Amino acid sequence: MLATFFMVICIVPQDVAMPAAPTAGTLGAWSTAIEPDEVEAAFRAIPWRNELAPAIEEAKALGRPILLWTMNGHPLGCT
Amino acid sequence: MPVAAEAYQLYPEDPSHLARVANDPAHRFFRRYGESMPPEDWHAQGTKQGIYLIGPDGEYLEGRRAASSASEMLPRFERAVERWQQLRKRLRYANKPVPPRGQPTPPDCDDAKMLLRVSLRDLPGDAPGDVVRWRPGAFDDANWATFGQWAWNQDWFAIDDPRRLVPSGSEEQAADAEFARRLCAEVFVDRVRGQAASWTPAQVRSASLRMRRVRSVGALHTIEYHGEADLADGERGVRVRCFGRGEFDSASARFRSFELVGLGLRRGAHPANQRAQMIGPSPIGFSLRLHVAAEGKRGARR
Repeated sequence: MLATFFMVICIVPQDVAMPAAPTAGTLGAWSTAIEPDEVEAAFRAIPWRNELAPAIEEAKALGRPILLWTMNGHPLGCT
Repeated sequence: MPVAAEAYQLYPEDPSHLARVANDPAHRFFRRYGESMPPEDWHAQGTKQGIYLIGPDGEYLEGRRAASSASEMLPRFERAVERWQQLRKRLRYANKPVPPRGQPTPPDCDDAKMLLRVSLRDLPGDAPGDVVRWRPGAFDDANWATFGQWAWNQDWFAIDDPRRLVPSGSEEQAADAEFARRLCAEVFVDRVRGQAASWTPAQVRSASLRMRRVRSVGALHTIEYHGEADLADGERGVRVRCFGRGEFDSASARFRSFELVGLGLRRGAHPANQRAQMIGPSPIGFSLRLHVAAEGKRGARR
């Protein structure tokens, strides 16, 4: 007679605590932490234009080339 | 039109949409350039996401569809500069300096009365100092998937009337419910690693924003904000608790400063937000800050 063993593996999701609510005392630190710093936001130093058609006209007027960076989503590499 | 939308409008993948833009000058400009690229760099049959270096009259300098590797793109940029130097001399392009601009905002936000820049990233620890930041050489940038280790994103939230964030008196009062729900639905979205649609009204389980003047000096009023939000679509959701502070000038009816942070938990995955391997729940942080355009530049007007 074969004994049938039922092996049950219970995967219990690890509880993840809700972060403490921000307060007047922590607001500045959290803002600074969440926002990109100068290194992360270095791309903002470039004088980007936000529409291509006017940029084409501007490029022609200035006699300058265009760098078009276009992405369906966040330009830092994810789609 | 935002460049992201323009990429689709500029060279749509669908043949019927492509026919629609056939005579659009920007499309014709981009198409002429694209079809002069090496075929392996131009994604003829699909998305035109990529990095393109184009002369003033659409001349090919360099370019790559779906470009994302710095090590791949740097040599291309260098070749583009060399080609540009030759081109501009041959065609006598003026090569005038490019006028500086303030930080770019989406075109549909340029005329917003009040514009908030939203930043968001994962919170690996309990303290602000625990966040992980990208640094040159610190990550395997050639491996596209590693961006999740340091990812952050930004978004924008436009407000038609700044007075929506101003209590009428000194007592705490709730912000307009519809406004609070819209803010939460559009801002508290897990886009740290990719795209996700804003929450629909039905997916806003709860959203509240309370405000109170804590100090007034002449026409300048300091206002504090507390709020909570619970947003969900089945197994995917975000819960946050917020605190913020703003300084409102009642003489000009504009905010001089505004800062609000939401800390909470995200869970689940959207088809395009790169969370399939990170169902969670896990901590996430959002920061909203008043964006003020430089004088004379496009952006939220003073």
